[in-house]
Amino acid sequence: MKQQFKQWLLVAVSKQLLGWLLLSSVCLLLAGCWDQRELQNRHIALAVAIDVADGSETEVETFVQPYGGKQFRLSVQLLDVAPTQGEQGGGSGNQTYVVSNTGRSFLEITRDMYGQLGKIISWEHIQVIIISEAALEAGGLDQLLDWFMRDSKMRWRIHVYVTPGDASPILAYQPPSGEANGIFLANIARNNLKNPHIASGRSDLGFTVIKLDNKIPLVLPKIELTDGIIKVSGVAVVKNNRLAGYLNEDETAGGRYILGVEKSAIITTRCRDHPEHILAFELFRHDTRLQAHVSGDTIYYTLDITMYGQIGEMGGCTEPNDHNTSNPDYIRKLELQFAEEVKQSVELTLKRQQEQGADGLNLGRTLKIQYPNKWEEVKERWNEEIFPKIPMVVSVNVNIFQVGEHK
Amino acid sequence: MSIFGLSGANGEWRQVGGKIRLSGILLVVLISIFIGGCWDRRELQDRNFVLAVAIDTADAGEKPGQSQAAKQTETFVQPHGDKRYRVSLQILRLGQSGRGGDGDSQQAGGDSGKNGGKTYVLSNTGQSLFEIVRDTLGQSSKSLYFEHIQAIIISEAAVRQAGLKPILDLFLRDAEMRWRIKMFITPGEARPIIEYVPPTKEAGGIYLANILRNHPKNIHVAGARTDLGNISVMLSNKQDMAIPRLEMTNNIVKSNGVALFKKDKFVGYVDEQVVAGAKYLRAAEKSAIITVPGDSPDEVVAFELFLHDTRLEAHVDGDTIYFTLDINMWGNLGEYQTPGKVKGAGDPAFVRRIEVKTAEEVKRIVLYGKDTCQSMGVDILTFSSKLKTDHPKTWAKVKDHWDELFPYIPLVVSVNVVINQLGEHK
Repeated sequence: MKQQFKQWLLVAVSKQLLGWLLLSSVCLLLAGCWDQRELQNRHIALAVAIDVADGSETEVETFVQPYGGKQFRLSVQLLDVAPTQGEQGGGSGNQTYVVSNTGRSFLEITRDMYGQLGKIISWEHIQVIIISEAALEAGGLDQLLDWFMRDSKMRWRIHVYVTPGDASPILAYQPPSGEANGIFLANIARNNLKNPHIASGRSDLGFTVIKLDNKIPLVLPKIELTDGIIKVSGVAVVKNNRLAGYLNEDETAGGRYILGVEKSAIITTRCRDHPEHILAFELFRHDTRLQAHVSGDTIYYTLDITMYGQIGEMGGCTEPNDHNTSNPDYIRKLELQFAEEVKQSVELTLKRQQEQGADGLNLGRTLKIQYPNKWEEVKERWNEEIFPKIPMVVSVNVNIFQVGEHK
Repeated sequence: MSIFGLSGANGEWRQVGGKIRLSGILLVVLISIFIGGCWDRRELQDRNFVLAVAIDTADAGEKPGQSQAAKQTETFVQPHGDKRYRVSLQILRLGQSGRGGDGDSQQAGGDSGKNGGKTYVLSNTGQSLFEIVRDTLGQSSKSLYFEHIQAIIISEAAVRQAGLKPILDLFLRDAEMRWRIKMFITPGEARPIIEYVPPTKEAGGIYLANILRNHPKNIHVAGARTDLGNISVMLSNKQDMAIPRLEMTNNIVKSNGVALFKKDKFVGYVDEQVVAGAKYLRAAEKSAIITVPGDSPDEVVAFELFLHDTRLEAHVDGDTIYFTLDINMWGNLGEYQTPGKVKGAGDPAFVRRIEVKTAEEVKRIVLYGKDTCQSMGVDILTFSSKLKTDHPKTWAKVKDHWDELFPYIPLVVSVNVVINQLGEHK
């Protein structure tokens, strides 16, 4: 009996001990602080600019490379975690600063950059990559983006911009709103929902990677900085990793109408009776269908767009006139006029893209999905021979529901 | 059996009750999802509030050294129209004031950097204001909210291009715009005015709008019935109107006088005295200071108006149309300056003399205002609407040639002033 009790006690104690041990070891592991690195001990990179190295950098700002030559200049914008008042240029708004380095391999450049920094760089929060036109010419898009695609720290929703000028001054720009520059730049792209002059959301790093892998032409939003004014408008067309040209604001909007990726838009037309006045339609909703058709050897496309919206602005035509917005007949006339404008805008964009020989409108993909056999036949000749001459039948229908608060 | 029957019914009841309860819970959950109302929320700090809008000609303020490239960046390729207007938006800078302090100037912000403090300015050029505003999103990290616009400032040059209507159409049509937005016309460039940082450090747009709210105490400011809503009504009725004039020189911003419009066409500016005259005539004044000479010409007496009773009446006598204006004013002797003498104002005879002089002065100002408006052919005196309500038949007869008649309409003015008090000190 006594023996039994002892044994039971032993088991009970060892069980209890085991439990305690388990508990404390779980605590040790769960806390997860064995490799902790506090926020203030990281440099958070917000934006990256890629330029060609023009020899203007100081000798300290670079390093001796075994291979590759000084081809690119990589500038990295870092978040100032604890900005002190009046630190730089008397501005308290300076939440960021820029470091740069030159070389060939971006990974090598960034690692050498640690020689200028007190902390390691965290890349997880990059918002934008800005590529200068010259760097795009020199490197090709796939080479420039390789590290960003390969490194596990890079997010797919990073915005990629192309600038005709130098890229690094854009990182040094202080937004008037006082935001951190990288976040400011990324958020401009988010305004594409209201402004069709900005490339659609399908132009970020993730979509760009997919298009690069599929070897199809792509568009990237264009950013410009002149005399302290920063602006995102229009797109750069990239074909075979090189710049094929730019589309201006109107053509960018046309491209978005074709792809059906516009959310809102302002479409203007001249007043028939008073050509010096223009009227504006505000798009609320649309139904866009792009269809490929194959008829024997001929490939053609039909684009059917139905738009719903309201009159956004009347030109204030000189009185007396018959512009009575409460008259349905007049509204029907305006609908036809706006539909014609959309059609012209779409056709203009198609023509420009065909001149550039770059199918940034995904017409090839549409054919591939709808007529895979035909695509197999033509895919070799698509970009050079077929796309530049492809016909598109455009039919646009505009419905004006409202005329605004004031007739 | 009966027990079984009962328990069966009970079980059924339990089943039904359970269903009701379940659907009730589902309903509560569903309702709470919808009334949360947060599916499309957008926080305050994620909006760019536009506080003021300045409209210039597209080439306004161009300096010889200015680069063409910057102008190119600030605009866009239009399918239609030309570069007619430059729209500048004053945007509230959120979350910055606490850290900035006074010398919060943005060195790299370019032109917009000039305006430190609580706001900054974005500009863009084009013809359709709506198109311009949407394209400006390419310069802004957040979408623009127009619900809180306080003031619209239009330069004279911009309004001379094609009148007022093309400029105001967007503001009248868009649902985001309020009718109580204050309007100004400036003879110079409009953009520097919204870049101006008020000495009070208020946000610029709020400061500008509040200038006009002082109109009940300042007879020189035309703040009554001149905001966007009133202008909308007058534009639709094809009436003439006055819009306050705003001027900025040497970093001093002041609203003085008004710009007169015939329908939507700019005619010219008139001074503070005309504004005062028109306000007396339309009974739009709440308080006023009227100065007259005292017994000797170097003395000045100021009458402070407290209360008035003003009646404008249209009269038709055969083919003649004339108006009568009867004004009764009650007030205070506000100030009595007698250089080099010690003199009280306690003499009742003296007070009566001042009353008569003040009445004469009011009459003179009213007639000066009326004559000026008539010579410019702009009926801001409400003569036409008065005739229309009082004598609709006569109005129907004359309305087609009212423009020709208006400059010659006579007005008979009779003013009576009563001074009730002399102030705290005799």
